[in-house]
Amino acid sequence: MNHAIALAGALIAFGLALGGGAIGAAIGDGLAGSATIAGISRQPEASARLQVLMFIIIGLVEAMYFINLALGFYFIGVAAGVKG
Amino acid sequence: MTPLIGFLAEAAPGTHQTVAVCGNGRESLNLIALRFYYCAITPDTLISSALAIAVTLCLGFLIVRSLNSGVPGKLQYILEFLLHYVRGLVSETVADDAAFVIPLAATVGFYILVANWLEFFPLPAPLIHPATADLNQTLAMSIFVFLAVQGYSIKVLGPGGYLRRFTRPFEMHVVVRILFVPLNIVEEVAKPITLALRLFGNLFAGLLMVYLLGLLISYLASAPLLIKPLSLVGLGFLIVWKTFAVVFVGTIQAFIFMLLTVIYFGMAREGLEESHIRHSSGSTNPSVHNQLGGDPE
Repeated sequence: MNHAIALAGALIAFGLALGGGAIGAAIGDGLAGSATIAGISRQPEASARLQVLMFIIIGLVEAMYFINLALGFYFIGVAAGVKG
Repeated sequence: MTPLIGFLAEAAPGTHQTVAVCGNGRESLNLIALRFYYCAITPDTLISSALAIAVTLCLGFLIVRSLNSGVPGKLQYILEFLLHYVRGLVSETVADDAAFVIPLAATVGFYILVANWLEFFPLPAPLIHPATADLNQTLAMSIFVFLAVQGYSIKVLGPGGYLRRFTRPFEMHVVVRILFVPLNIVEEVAKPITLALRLFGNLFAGLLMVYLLGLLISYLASAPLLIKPLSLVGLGFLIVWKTFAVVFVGTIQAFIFMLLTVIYFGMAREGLEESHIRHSSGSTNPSVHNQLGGDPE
């Protein structure tokens, strides 16, 4: 019983963390993309540099989401291993 | 179908065979998943990181052997571009005299790139686990960078200046600066942890997705005849995802690790320029003026 409760809690928490992380990452990606488009439309000759910068920022932003994902699976693994 | 999945997807990620060196591996926190060792070896990661080191060294020696000052080969051009970029980055964000950062950052970036791209090959499951998808490996690298940054900070600022750096922001009142000390300590300690978790999380999540897609394909393939063709769609997804995760994410994460290493070295000098100005008003160092927006008061 304890084991089932722990596992259910872990799964719910994992879902919440995934959802929240996805919202944050999506907003961050959108901000980076919109700023890049604004910069390119203002200075089209800088597009190559801006695109590289945008991908770096996206890599940084999405890292948070991937940390969520990886740690979430760890937590599920730990909860699945709780002795009940 | 099974050998194909073995080719594309590794075994369940995050499961390591651990060889204890000392400590008895006793169960802690009433959990089965967490075992406590004083020190232990994960041979799978050791093998794959040794592979990555060997490939990196071989590439380096190969380029050195075929070095020519005329028209560079493709490989030499790529490495020259990387090194030139790192050199510019270091002289821009750290200082011109911090030459030791260049080989450190370039090596870290190149090694992580090779280690990430090695994941493209099928790594036999219980034997080899991709090096950068193991938290132990990334934490080791980031802790080394952290210690090097602290040492560089003490060397440049002196012990007093190093401790004074923890009372940022410098222009505030003394009481506020004292209140900021715990925040600064947390920020400093969080740096290596986020550095390690960023690389690990990206590569581990990519690996996990490959594994889950492989499971999905084998599930669909054993399903009734009507759904069976869907496994081909899953296979397409798997190929696209694996290429994306290795080539795109792997490259960007290697680059970000290198970039942040250099930036942390740059942050280790914080407070240096200001104290220079204060002690010798109207300093003649042009780089100091540039960093303060060309307005030395």
